[in-house]
Amino acid sequence: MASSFINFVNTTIDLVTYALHAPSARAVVFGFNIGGHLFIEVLLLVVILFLLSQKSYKPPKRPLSNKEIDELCDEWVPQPLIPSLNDEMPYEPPVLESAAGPHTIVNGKEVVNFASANYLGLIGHQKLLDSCSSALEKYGVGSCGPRGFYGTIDVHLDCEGRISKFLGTPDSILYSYGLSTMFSAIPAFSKKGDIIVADEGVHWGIQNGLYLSRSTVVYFKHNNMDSLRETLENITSIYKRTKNLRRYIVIEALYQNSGQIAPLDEIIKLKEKYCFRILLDESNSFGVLGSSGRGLTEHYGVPVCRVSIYRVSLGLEFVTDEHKISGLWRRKKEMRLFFTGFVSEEA
Amino acid sequence: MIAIPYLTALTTYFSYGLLFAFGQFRDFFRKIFDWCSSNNLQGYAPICLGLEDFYIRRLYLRIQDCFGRPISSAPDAWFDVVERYSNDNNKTLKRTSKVSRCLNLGSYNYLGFAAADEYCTPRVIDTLKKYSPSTCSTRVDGGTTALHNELEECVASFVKKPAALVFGMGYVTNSAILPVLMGKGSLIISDSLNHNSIVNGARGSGATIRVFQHNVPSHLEEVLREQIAEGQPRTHRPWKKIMVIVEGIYSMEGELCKLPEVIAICKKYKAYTYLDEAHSIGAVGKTGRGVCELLGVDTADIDIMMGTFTKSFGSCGGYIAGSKELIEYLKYTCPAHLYATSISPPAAQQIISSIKVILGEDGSSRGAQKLAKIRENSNFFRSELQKMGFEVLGDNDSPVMPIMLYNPAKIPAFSRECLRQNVAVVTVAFPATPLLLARARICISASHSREDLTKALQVISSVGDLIGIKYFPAEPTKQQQQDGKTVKFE
Ligand SMILES: Cc1ncc(COP(=O)(O)O)c(C=O)c1O
Ligand SMILES: Cc1ncc(COP(=O)(O)O)c(C=O)c1O
Repeated sequence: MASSFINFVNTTIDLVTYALHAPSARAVVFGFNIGGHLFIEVLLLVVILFLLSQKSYKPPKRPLSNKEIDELCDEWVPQPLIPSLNDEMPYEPPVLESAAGPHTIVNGKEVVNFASANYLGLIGHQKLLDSCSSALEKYGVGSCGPRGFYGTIDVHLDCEGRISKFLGTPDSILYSYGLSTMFSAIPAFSKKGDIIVADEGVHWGIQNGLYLSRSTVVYFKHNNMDSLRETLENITSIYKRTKNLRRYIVIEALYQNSGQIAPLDEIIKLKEKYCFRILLDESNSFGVLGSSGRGLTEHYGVPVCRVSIYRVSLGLEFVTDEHKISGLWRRKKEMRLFFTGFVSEEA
Repeated sequence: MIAIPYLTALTTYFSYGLLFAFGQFRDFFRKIFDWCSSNNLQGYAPICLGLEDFYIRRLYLRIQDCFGRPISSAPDAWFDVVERYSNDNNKTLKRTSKVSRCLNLGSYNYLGFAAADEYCTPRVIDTLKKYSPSTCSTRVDGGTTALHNELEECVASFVKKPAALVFGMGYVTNSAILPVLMGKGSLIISDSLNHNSIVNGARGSGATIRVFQHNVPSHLEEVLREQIAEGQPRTHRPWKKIMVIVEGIYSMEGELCKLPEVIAICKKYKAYTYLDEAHSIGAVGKTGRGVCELLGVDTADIDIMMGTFTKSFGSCGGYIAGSKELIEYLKYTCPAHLYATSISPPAAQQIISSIKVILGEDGSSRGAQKLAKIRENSNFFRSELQKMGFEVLGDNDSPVMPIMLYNPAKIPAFSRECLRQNVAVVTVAFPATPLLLARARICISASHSREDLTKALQVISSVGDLIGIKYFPAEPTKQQQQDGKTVKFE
């Protein structure tokens, strides 16, 4: 039964091959016997060409009519601008009725102040107040313009000069507000595609700057050198071939959120090994750490030239004459960003 | 929409082309030299890359002296500009001890509060003595003084909103507020010429951003309809919320926002509105309350009003004004409130006092006079400039008036020549404006007297003749279209 079926199939195949061979059975091109292939191939080609010449099927496009859009617009209900308030939200901070010195007055009672970052106790220093008042009389309060457009006053330049001398950096620039410094400085130096390794515990201003720069940001565990080493190792192996990639390590000298001090000496070793630049935020350590108040680099005895970009907060603690003048004189972005070599334009 | 004559567009392109070609040529030689003297920072990519670096070295540095001129007095109607010189072709500028007394047409000193003021300054100094210059702490910790609360009440009643919140800097206000209110799944529709701080805030929020043509409400409506109909990209879910962001006076254009139309459209499509009044608050309106007052818009229709104190009030900082719940929520969530040092008390006092002067609460009519003066000065100056044939942008009543320069060579020419004749002006070029539309910007102040303005007009007119920027025929006809031969430029 089975063998007769196979026989039948074989004969049919033979017949078909013969029939196909027949038209070109004796055709020889360049010494090759072509056989029935040519026929089939031509047939296939014709079919393919036919199919290609047909338009592919597209569902007919019917743009929304104006009326439909009107309806959609009517139907759309936005969420409220803010979520509804709950009980824990309203919070009344203490209201000071005098200067935020070591002792201050809240609700008519004198209290000891542990909330202000008046580290050097310069609030209320008579010499400062005098120099501030004379500056106010001479220059007014606001500079009424960004640095580029007549918002630069000679005291700003003097102050920048003093700061860079104090820290031993080639140059410095003053921004008018601590928070904005990092989020204008980081995007200026790091663009899409560049790499930033940052500590988990950095301040919101820095995190926002990292986000705005659109660089590849990798966080390492807070103040954990093993984690940093691992991260750097990983990144270096991933990006071994990419040239012209700017790489930064972003750290705070004294973390606002945890009170810890970054081990700069170890970080410098790692940085040199893996060719990263360091961006150091000295908001809380400037004027506090180091035997003469020059911050973390002095604390660890590291030469400043090893740190690429420095940034120090004025609002917090360091209150020299100049400093305060600029504190009042906040212009476009005044804060201190010390950096080797380049002066960026303000955003 | 600015129409550039063909010839000007052509010469401008040609000049930039030439600058670029020469710059590249010089860079080519520099590279050869650099290659000979081996690089010392092995393994590090340069901090400044590519075109940006090229732009700074070859274009910006050459005319560096026109920007960032230091001054050594308060930015009043007249101020002292410190002279600078350079020994290395403008790469570095050194200060001298010489100053020249110049008429100030550059600062945003709209109401003249930048200089010492008989009412404000004594109060500011008293505050300094009482509260010292800084609070050294954030608002939520120990940085709220009685003064801060007074300031917030004062601002809220000035802009006619139930509540307000102040921050230490205007830039931060925009860039920290937007991420709190908007997020993934929401849409921000922003004017194409909005300030960089708004752009930064919008980017930082993670919301989708769409842009509408500068000050064209019909295009805003088009974008709104399209977006509501389509919903979020890819998922096509409806948007969570939509916010439209506009400015009161556009600082580079001098134009007033078409607020009534924008508000009507936003109401129709249930979008929230965010109005940045950085330049308009204090400067326009009958009692200085900004564009809303000038254009007759009810402030209740605007969800969020933002503004800065750097301009009219001669201080520093920014505010957000809105409903009580909004401010309560922001106080709980906004990073600029939670993490940044509070506004310095003397600066806060300056704002309070200047608002009192504006409202006449100091017992004099100086505020009303100042407001009348700035309006009169602005309209006088604008109409005179137009009569002379300059191409002046912006609307009547706005104290900001850009004069178009176009060609890159005219930027330093205008600025240096005016300074030589003791008039200090601001010139703005790429990247703050589109490449072709370089301009000079003049900011009028209430502290300018009529003689000051006449002198300024004389100087600008003579310099304008010298460098050929009177693009329109002088005097009577204010023909804005030049016989149809114009290139449209957005
Ligand atoms: C790391 C860091 N960045 C920025 C800031 C904000 O600086 P400022 O208080 O001067 O605005 C602070 C302090 O609050 C800070 O600790
Ligand atoms: C529209 C607009 N918003 C915000 C700002 C920023 O204000 P501040 O100078 O206080 O940072 C400006 C300043 O130029 C501005 O023009």
